[in-house]
Amino acid sequence: MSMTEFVVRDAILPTLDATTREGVIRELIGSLHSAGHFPNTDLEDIVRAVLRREQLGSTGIGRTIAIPHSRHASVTRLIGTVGVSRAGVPFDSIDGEPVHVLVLLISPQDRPGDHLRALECVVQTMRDDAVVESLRNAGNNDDIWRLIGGGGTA
Amino acid sequence: MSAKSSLRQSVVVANPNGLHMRPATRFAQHARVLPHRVTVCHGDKCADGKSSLDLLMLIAMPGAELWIEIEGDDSSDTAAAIRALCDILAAPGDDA
Repeated sequence: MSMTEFVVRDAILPTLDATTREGVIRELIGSLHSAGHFPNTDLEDIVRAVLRREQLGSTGIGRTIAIPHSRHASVTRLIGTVGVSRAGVPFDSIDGEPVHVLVLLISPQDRPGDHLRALECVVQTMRDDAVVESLRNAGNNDDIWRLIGGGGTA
Repeated sequence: MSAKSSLRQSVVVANPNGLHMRPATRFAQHARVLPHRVTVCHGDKCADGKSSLDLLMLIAMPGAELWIEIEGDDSSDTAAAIRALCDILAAPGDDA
């Protein structure tokens, strides 16, 4: 499985503007919406769901990576996006380091297997320090797409 | 040099969402404070039980049977340790 199977290419954000955990989560959800997802949905409801999950324990997995996620009724298949923060975002991560690479996942209510497979895929991809470093330095959407397993250019 | 003792026990993942990030983190946090080596296997895949990321690689669905193996010195209480670890995976969780 490749991350490109669930990451929405047009929603990738090579340069996140926000500098807080809530801010970057809001920005990533907004980007998925701009790319055509969550029609007729109160985006704040999705933001609240992801933030609720963060309150239960940070999804900052260390090595500058975070995987904020939630289930939400507005999606019928698991979707995600990738964002990069140049400055780094305080995330209460497992290693205490700020987060630079974020992978947001929103999954349907009743598909735990899809969520587990996506988590495994993200962790597998991010195991390579060189990939994480390249993501942090990626100049644009296409670079990030290639780094997570996509081929060609837009 | 003290003798090693090891125990192996199976447990079924009771969380309705499988072994996702929170139970994996809970398990690894618990395993990390033990003096034992902790390994968790799902089919032919095995993970370091002290690493939540390693545990996520198992893709353990609800109802999956996992094998926990712990190894430590004879002096350490391996039976109590493995029971506590099994209890984490056998808990239905708070996210049903």
